Amino acid sequence: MQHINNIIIVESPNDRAFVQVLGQEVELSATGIEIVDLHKFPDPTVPEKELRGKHAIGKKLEGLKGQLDRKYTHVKKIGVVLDMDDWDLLTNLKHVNKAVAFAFGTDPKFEKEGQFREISINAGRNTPISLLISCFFTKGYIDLPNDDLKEDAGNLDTLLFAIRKNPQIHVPYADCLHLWADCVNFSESNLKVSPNLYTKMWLDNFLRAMAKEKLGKSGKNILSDFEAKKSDVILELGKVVFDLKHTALEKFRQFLQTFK
Amino acid sequence: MLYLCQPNIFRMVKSIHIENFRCFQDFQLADLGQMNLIGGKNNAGKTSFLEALLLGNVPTSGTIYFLQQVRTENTNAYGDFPEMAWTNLFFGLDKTKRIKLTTTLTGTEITVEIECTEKTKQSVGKRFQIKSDELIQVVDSATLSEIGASTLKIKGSGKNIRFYNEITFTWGTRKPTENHGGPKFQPVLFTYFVPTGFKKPSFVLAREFDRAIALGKKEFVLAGLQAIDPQIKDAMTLNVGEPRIHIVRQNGSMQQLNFYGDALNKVVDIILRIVNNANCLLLIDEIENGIHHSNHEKFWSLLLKLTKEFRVQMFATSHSSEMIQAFQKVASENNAANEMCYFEMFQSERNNQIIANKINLETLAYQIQTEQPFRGE
Repeated sequence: MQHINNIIIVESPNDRAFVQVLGQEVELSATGIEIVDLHKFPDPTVPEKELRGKHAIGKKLEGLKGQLDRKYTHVKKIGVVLDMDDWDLLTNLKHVNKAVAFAFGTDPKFEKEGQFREISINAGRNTPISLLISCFFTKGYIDLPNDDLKEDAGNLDTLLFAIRKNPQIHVPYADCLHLWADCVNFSESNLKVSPNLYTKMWLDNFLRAMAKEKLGKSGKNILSDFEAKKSDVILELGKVVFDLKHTALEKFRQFLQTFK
Repeated sequence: MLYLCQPNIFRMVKSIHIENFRCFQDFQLADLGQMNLIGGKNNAGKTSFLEALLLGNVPTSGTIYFLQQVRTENTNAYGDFPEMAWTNLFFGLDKTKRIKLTTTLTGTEITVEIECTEKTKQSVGKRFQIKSDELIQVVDSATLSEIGASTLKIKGSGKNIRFYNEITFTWGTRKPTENHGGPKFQPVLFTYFVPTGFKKPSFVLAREFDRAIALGKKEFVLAGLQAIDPQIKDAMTLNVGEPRIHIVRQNGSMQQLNFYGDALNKVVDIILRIVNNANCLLLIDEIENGIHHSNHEKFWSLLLKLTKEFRVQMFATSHSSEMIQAFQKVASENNAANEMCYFEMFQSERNNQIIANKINLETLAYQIQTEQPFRGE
């Protein structure tokens, strides 16, 4: 049995699937690494924000602390991969610093992505456990309403949108959404389609179309419960529909390589 | 000048360092609150931790003998094999190493060192005794123990603290003997231990209840009973035959407390220990025993209120998920994260040492909600 040497924490099962796909591309060991997500579906009475995604990272890390003596006895490195969202890099770094300090009692003082900091965990232990911890933020670009691009922002959806293969090829099932979005945004309706929502919907429809086209019968089944199966589609078709050598992935690839 | 227990001063245990005691080779716990819950699997060391707290605060031969009784050790056998008498106290059953318990309290520190010394039969002389079962035991020293006496030496020190006492099992005897070869121990902090499954005799409970009434604290006991069972209207002691606590229900019916099952007996025992012993240290093993899960939150709320009111520090153990969840909920609802602390105790697979990992109550809630381990799994 191979021990888990590295843990990568990501926000959602979709992020986990993509990190697995990109991990294969950079030849990460599939057995020595565990990719865990922050997406457990919570008790509906508890505010979702507290339990899911980047808001839960501090609690997730603290939960891992106890497991370092049981499930993860050989872990040397922890990577935190969160969405950049519309926060700037500094705000995201501060968020991770705060989460690590909450969990382990030491502020790693990250100043940039991909930087490794050594954390010593000694609560209740005679011999402290030493770990290397690092972070990275998933991002692409967001189309702003005035046709400008906001770079280094967004999340997995915006990244996948940016690295789709053959962007010049028209995919009506996804591309025609812009007609709908324009129609809504130019109407007098109070409901507007934000760039984030558009990108998410575009990607979902793109993956649906790809699943139907490339996965045959099993692809059709996916369409019935797509949200739950999106991560499976990313895992299955990631190499086929996304350009894993895209320049937008350069830093992400470098980050994952540090967990080899 | 020796430290005497000052019942008007609230001293909290701030930290404890345990060396070579039971399953603890070298264990430290700090960052404690007023109410501390220790969760973990069976045999994780939870009971031993409470025992260390008791022995660290009441380091007497009486405590040693009490622990042997609580663990239902076969002390009768120690007359034949004195070398077995203290073995279970030592880490790895290695009596050659010294037990050391260092308890840091508000304003002071107590260091207790315990070591075992043994004498051969020759040095204590040969004895032939008539045992209580009236069988004359003819002892063949070639087939039985070579050890004639095994002594535990308990030595304590600290700021204004110095004491020494011994407890010895001698071959051919049935009970240990005590000896104070130096200054006697004077408690700094009154400490009470409620072992798992312990049921206080009814007449003792009745006496404690009368004491609470005499001290004008009956309302607290009654409120505690009503928190568990709202149908309870009143409680009183009746001295018919053996004194016993009786419960009066809303419909006027009256029945002995004993008939209400273990839970209510346990709740009354714990409440009485708190209200009658302000500023004490209370240790409760397997606190959930006998208490229905629907009452867990009420019980914690009651304990939070009483420990604050009577300035009692509490350490409890549990392996019940429901009891731990109720603890977290009550702490969260009362904004009591500073007072209520949760520790997960387990054996490290890295170095086999026992570890108590303090889990922030927010994180505990997260782990409960997302079905992640929080009891040493």
